[in-house]
Amino acid sequence: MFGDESHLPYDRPPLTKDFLLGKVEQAQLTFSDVQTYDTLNIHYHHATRIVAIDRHQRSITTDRNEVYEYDKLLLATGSRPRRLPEMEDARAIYLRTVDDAARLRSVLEPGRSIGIIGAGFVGLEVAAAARDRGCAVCVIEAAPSVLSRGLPPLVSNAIQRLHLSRGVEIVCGQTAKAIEWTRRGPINIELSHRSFSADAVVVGVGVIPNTELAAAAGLEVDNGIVVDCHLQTADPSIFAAGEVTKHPVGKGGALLRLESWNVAHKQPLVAAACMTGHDLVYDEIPWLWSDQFGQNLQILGDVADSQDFLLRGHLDSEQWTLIALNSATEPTGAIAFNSGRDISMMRRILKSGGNLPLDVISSSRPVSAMVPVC
Amino acid sequence: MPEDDNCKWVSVLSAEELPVGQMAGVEIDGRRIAIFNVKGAFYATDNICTHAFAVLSDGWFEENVIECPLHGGKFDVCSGRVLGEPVERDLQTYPTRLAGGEVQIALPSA
Repeated sequence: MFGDESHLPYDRPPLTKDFLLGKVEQAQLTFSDVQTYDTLNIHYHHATRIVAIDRHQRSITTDRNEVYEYDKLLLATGSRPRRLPEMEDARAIYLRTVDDAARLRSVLEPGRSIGIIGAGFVGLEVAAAARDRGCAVCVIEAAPSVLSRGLPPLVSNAIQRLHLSRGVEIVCGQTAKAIEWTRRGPINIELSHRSFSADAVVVGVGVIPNTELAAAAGLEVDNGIVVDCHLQTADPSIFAAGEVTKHPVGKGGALLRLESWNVAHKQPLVAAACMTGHDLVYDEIPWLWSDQFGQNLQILGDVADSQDFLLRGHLDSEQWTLIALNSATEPTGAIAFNSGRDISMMRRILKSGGNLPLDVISSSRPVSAMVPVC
Repeated sequence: MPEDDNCKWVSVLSAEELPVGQMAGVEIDGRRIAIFNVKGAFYATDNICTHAFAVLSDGWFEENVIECPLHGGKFDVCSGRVLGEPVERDLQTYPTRLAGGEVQIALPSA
């Protein structure tokens, strides 16, 4: 096993949440200790980058020019933060690794001002953690609303209200006109209506899959390493797993690349089984969660294309669920706020292809994706 | 937990309040405890997930498995054992018994 970070493999979800709040420490994030890897006969080469795959020789070359042969190869190269040209200063914080998170944590002191570029999950989770640490926070988002990618305006509005109620400033529909990076001291972010003076700037504007190695080896890459339901590439000796894959999803088998813990957790299990001669299929329903201000948002299945939803609860309350319907009014997914039990229920319904229970239908009301409901 | 002088039996609810397949959360001496009815047998565990702060009795209970509402971790309520990630630590369980139609659990007396 080769990894380009100097640490043993670790859990990433807390990096934007409990780790920033000081509730967990770096040592607690590590999955297994060195001894465990030894016991399992896993040789872990840390701080080692693979620079080439020779598919003909079935070998890989490290950045120290060492060559290792393989029978089967797994590419679990993940993603890296998308970088913005105007945010290339050394003081811009891009959050991906535990080192990035440790650097950010060190600046989240009470009374500090934090500028956040991008109101996706990473930006909003960092905003929540920074507010909880007593910082002033301004989130700047180019799109007209927060979480605009793949979520209906209903949900964006509800999450935006949550952040505003906790004192986060959100500026949507504009980008920073200019940023004055200083070596020390405040960083000045020029907005159209005012300027924001920040002690630190965090950039969370999406990720780019690390597909270069696969592409250079001639494997099919299309915004992700293309794999089949066994997580196998067109080369039968090479598999891929995690956030880097573009894999078939749902009944239609549409190829999607999903940025979530669930693929990072479940795909390797299927890939490992298939690499060792078993016949397993990855058919998990897409699922992700985000924790902000102690509130839990979960998204299951296909919600992006739905125009119609069933709403359980009230969107301005602390607990609600939106069930996404397709044009035939069949359930395709759900978005749940502090109602994980509904996600458990919907996962079972979606897996079995069954209908919604009558009591769920009768206790819900239809809403449109486009109309903000209060 | 040994069922000896170091523990005390506490009534938590009446057995008929909790039909098969149901669960309930109770709080005793500041401990949040979940009671489960698995095929007529009662089991008790801590009611807070070992992964993050979440009340398990707000989750999904099926047969002998509780699924955490927050991040989907799974536990066997009979043994407290972890059945599914992201959870890594087992749940604390408590002995139970029926006494005069009441479900009782054994808590450490210290």
